[in-house]
Amino acid sequence: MTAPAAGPVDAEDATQDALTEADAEQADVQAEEEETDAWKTREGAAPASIVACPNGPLLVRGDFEIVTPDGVPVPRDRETVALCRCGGSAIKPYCDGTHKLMKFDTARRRPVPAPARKAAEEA
Amino acid sequence: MKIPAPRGPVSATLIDLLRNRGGTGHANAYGSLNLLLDEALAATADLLRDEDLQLTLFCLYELHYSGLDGVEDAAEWDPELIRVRARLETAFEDVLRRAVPVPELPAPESEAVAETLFRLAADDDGPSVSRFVASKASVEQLREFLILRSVYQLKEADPHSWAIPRLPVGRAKAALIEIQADEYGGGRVERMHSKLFGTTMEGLGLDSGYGYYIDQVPALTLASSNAMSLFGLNRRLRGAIAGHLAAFEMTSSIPNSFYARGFRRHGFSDDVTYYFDEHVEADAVHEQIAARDLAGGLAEAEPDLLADIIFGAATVLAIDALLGEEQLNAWQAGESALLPLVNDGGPAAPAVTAAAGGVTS
Ligand code: FES
Repeated sequence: MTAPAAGPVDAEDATQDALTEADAEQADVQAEEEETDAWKTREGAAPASIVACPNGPLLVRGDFEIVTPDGVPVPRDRETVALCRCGGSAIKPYCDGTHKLMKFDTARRRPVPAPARKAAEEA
Repeated sequence: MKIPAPRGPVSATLIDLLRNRGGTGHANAYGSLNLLLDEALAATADLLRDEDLQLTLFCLYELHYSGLDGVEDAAEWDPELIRVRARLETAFEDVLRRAVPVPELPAPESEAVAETLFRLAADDDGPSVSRFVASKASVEQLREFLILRSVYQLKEADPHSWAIPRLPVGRAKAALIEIQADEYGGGRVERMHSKLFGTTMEGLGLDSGYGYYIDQVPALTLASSNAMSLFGLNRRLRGAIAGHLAAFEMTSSIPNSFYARGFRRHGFSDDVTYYFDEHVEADAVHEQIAARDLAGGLAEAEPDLLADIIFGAATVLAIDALLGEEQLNAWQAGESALLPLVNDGGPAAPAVTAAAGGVTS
């Protein structure tokens, strides 16, 4: 995914403002592109923002593109999309609700295996 | 839409009155309509499955949507008809309030509301029409499935649009608009969900005209549509319509993938299944917005509405469970889930049925 927005994204609208509760779950898109201010020249285009939905997908709004590694646009039929992050969707990169059946839990962290932790500490 | 065939004395009197509004003696007609309504409300064993009364309410609501063929548009605000509607609504809401099980209320905070709604939807273990459609339904049953759903799906999103001017400026309203814009195709007619549903119906040789099959649709399906109109058309119930939409979206993406599978199993093309495929993706987006921003955002803005938000959501699940049970019982017994047609095109038995095992009592 590339986002033609430049710099940190301001949570400008009420929707985003009210999300402060979910701060830990929310990430702003910071993306670089040569044409840094391209989105500003487009009428009504808001910079991209991502809501990390607890136990669910990444909800992406605003001005962004989803492309394959070769830069080919991934078919996209709506303004706001939900990107699967549980791995279970049958329509990747989009979410199809399967995370609910998988009981996908974003609060659960997999414990780091001891050898890896040791290596990290020694590094 | 076309004027439906009456299903009992109340709907017969209403339909007569609608056809002849302004004619002589219609003051008497209002009088007898009210009297018959009194009697019917006192006598009904199960308002949710009362063919006569649910059809009456459906017709009264229809005046606020696309209207009834041959009935003056002004009938929409006929004070006498509004009074009849309000009396029916009171009884209907009363039944829903008593019958719908509501979970313990969360704190009026977005994430807590979303969590409660997601849990409510996940705990829903009602009879699964979607699994039946995916693996067993015959083509004829798929047609019945579409006919039953067409009551709402051919005006998809409309009942929830009533809520737009009723929500305060802020997160909840922005969320509702975002969802509705997508429902209506994001500015592209060919992507309107109601339009896509019509295409699916036509793919199975059905007529996609709004209300075409109304005479074959049983009371409980009308009640499910009437509940949306009740919540949407009454400002005081704006919490319930927000919760209703949230639960609707939250119980949609997975069943729709099952529906698509059922239609593919019979070899129907992608054009036919597109409506369901589209909903898998769209509603996975909508459910996140509806739970946190619409329902949760409204609870934060107007904490007094919290109980109604949860009630509206629980209503979807309760009515869906009853509908599922009714449909599956019919299909598993090798019967039709539709009302039989009689020669004149009206339903065979304008009877008030009180099926066993209902939630109302
Ligand atoms: S996050 Fe929803 S299916 Fe993976």
